Amino acid sequence: MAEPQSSSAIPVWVQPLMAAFLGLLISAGLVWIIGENPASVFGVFFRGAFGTTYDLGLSLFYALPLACTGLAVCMGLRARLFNIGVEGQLTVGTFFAALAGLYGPSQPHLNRIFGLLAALLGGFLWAALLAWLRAYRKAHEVVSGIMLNFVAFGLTSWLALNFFKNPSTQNPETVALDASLRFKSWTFFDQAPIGFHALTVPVAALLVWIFFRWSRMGFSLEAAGAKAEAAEQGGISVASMQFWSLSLGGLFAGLVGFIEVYGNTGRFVVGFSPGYGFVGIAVALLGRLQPLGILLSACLFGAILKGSLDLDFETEKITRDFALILQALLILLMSCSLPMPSALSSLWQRIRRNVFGTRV
Amino acid sequence: MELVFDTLLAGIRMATPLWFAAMGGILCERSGVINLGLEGLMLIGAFTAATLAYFTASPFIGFAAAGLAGAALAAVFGFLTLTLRGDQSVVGMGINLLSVGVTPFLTKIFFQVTSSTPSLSVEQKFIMAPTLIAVGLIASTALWLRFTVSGLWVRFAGEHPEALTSAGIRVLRTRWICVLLSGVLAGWGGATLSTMLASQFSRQMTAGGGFMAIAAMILGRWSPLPTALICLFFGLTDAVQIRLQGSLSGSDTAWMLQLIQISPYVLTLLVLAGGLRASRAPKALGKSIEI
Amino acid sequence: MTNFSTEATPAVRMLGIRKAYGSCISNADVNLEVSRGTIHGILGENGAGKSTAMKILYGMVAADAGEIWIDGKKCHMRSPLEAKALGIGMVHQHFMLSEAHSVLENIILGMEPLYPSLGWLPEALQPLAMRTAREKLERLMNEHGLEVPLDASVDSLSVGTLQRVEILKLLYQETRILILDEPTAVLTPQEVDRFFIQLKHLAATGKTILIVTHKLRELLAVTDSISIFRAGSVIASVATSSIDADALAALMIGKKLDPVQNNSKQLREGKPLLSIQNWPLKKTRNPSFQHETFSLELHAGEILGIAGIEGNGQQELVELLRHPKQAPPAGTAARLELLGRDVTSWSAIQMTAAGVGYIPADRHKEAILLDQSATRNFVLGYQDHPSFRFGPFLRWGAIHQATVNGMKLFEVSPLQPDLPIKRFSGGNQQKIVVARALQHQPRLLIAVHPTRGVDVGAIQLIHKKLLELRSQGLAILLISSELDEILALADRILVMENYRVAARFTGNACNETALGLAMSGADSKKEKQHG
Repeated sequence: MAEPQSSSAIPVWVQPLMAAFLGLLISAGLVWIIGENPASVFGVFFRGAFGTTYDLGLSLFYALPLACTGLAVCMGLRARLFNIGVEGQLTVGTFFAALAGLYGPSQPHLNRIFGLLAALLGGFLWAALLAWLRAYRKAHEVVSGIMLNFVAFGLTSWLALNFFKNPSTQNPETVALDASLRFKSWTFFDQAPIGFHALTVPVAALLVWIFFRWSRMGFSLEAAGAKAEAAEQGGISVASMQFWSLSLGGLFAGLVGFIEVYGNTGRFVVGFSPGYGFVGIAVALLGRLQPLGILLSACLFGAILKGSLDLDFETEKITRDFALILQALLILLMSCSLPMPSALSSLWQRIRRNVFGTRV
Repeated sequence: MELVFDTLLAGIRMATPLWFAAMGGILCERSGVINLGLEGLMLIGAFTAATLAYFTASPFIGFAAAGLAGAALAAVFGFLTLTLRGDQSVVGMGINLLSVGVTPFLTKIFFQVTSSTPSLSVEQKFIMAPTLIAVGLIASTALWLRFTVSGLWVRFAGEHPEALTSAGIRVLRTRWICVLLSGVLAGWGGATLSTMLASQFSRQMTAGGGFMAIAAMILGRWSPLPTALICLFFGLTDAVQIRLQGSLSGSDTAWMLQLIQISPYVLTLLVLAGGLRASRAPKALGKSIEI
Repeated sequence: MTNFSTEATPAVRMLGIRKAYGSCISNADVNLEVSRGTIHGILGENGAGKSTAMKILYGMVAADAGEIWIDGKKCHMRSPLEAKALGIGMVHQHFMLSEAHSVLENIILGMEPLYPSLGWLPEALQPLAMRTAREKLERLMNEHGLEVPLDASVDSLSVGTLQRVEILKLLYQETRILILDEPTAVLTPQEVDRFFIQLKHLAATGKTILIVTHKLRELLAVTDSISIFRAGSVIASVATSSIDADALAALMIGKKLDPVQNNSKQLREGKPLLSIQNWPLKKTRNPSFQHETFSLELHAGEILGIAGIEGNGQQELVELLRHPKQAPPAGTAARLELLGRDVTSWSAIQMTAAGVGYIPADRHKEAILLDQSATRNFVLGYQDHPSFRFGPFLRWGAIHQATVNGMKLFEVSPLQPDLPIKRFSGGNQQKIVVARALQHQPRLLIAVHPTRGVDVGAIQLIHKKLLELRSQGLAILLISSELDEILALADRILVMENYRVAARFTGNACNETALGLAMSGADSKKEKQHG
């Protein structure tokens, strides 16, 4: 019932399934056109993603940041705001986490908590800038989000390379934090970097669910997005809701930084994110802005990412970039989710009118 | 003196792709459509131009094909946003991602590698032709919007589509034409990148050029001439930075480079914070219309 | 010159026009005739069907049945374009002008001037022959006394000038039949007078003009003949010279029966629950305007009806009571008190908490979230109420229960609180909105058009409930454009006109004619005009 987008009686899961199916169909068509066997390509995908527990672990590992960014995008979209600045927010969050790990308390647990808070703070602050521009300066959130992304990359890499650079390597990265501070990987997934830090993601999804299902602010935020005038009449300040929907989203973007630093590399690597923030848009749309749906679609996207890695070796003409095509197709197919049925039917009616000359 | 002249020339060359893309952006936004897919349209154009120039040995054929490829991708954008009334921002970002995925996919098919297309020889490249075309384009865009019948329609489509409808002109068709034209122009911008500035197509070679064009458009208040000047400024910033990179590497002031790089974006943000967008942007921007 | 109905071929003739939107009949049977070179008034209450009829004439809406004859020829108009080709033009109540463009550009849109020598170019690519357009417009301006600055940007002009721009645009397009929708709604009295002189001049040069309005004085002042709309039909067409304001008001309002009546109308004494004193409602930048101030007192157990034509300060009154949040204007004796307390700095949330219920005027725009469930809509505005709240959380169980109770009380069907509210009929949606405003026993209810766009059954139920609660001590401020509603329910009636109280009535000693006259400002304006 917390579904802000359902415009008809069609169940919420129909469109994502249709989009996923169509996306697979179109990409299978592409594969077939260039002379590969779609079945074997998808076989490679499947084995790459789920073949061993290690593969499964890596799929999950890719799913974690995507779920976070999906939640971040979802926070904005619930108030009808398009948070495209997630990429920059997670960059700042990661940078903060890496520094906090370096300079934080040496006791491991305290250090981790400190790092988590720093990551969240980084994401939040960068998002708050965007949110302020949107809510109080009425700047278009998409344009300012893109600009803030570039500024975040530039600033963090400037700081990282000029003041915190790891002197023992040529790579553009900061000094790594002590290995003992990082979370140990669970043995179940072989050596895949999945440990206790992974639990923060389902917890975050749960919090989002609680927020929208039970909290006053979640309710107000959705009301502000659904109809600003009605919300204002109901005593809700639309501007402040816009502010919070974007800036709270930044918390989840910041969480990516914690996972990246404490669960994976232990440092801030310039350009580490392969566009997590942008894929988060697809994750959120495919998950129909439902926390559980976002977790599931993040797993799907994680599997696509992991599965695509083996394409380089196992097929002749298809590379890992194929994952990007699949993601883009899913975004495009979900983009008109809201008016799709009505637009298609009105298109159909126009065709009927023009072709058959019948009035409908 | 020669140094200044060289840097100026380099700046003009580097501004050329931005000029194309920014003019495409202006057409689109003046007609009321937010086109965040400029980056993707440029990328597909860059790939098409480099590939065709390689196979036909004529940069002009590559240039023309880049325009067509941009228009084709823009048609996908138009179908999703104008016909199906999908969210313009979301579709634009989807188009970007699609381009990033499709171009290496195609490179691999044609050339068996994913990273880049083969290098072009000097005869397969442009020297200055796109720059001249771009200058002509800026002038004609400005004149067209200001002084012609259809230019008037475009401006009303973005400001007050209802007035245009009640005057008997189809807003949707006006917007479609603008979207397709912006595809052509952004495609040409990409072609300039791969066949004039560089001598091959490489992965994600646009490197934010499409977004830079959007920034220039905002700073230039959606009018062609000021926007072109801002693009030129961005191009000069790039040229200066590259020149400094050569002379400063290793020196104490090298740290300034990254800051120079982000200065266009910071500038745009400052202007946005000043509340400019709300007052100057075409009023009907981003609003889909009932068919 | 009122040679009404003597011309052989009228400029406009509408015969048996019928239009229904679903089950709602907007035009039942519209017949009217307008002679060439005359000004014809279209009069009627809100929802009487006059706008629909004019949209049909302008080709924006297709009629279900009926015929339109223009200059003696039967026409089928499927779009405004075809209407334009026949010489019909319309000035909408909300101007169709783009603020970012110059007056000249706005005027030529749709009929762009071209250079004859460049005819070989495709039309879209031809340059605009601005000088040709300018010459033609200057001629028109001189001819009709309609000066506008052609090169000024539209956003820099006053509404009076914009009105002239719209007219000039029609003249430029060689329109012969001009439809003006509420043309004076936004004009100052001085502008109105000037505007009327221009209209008369236009008519004298052979243009036919149709004015849609509900301002009686203006119709009497400017028209040659008038058609009166009621309930989707033209109930009378008269020559202006043969009728006066009283008769027009009576024709316009008619008499509808409301079975729910307040049979114990009485005056309350003592300390008022709500008191507004000397408040200047009109927001004006120009200090030379005289500030009309507004005062009212409302007691517990009383229904105070606010009658008046929309746009005379009702909206500002509601805003004041909903989000006071404004200090009384400096240097005035303005006061706003609720239960004896000064509430001028209060927010909407505080007002709700103090026991003020609110039924907004525009259901879809201001009252409900269409895509969300009845339950979620039921809590909107009460999300801070202690019984619904547990720290930062909402008690959905309690909210659900309250929704079910409210829906039961108002006999909402279907009784499914989880259904999106858009799946309920308009009447049931409104019942939910009313039930929401009445939960938690408010002390004061602000009801703005509480039964607008609602079926008869729901109207009766809502009226019955309002009367029940009034007798239990609820104070109700009833703002409505439905005179029947106000006459049936209100203990006392204020008539608002031009941001002030034009007249006060007690519920028993009042009738439609008296209200109608006070609403239209028929006497007061006339006095002001000559005084």
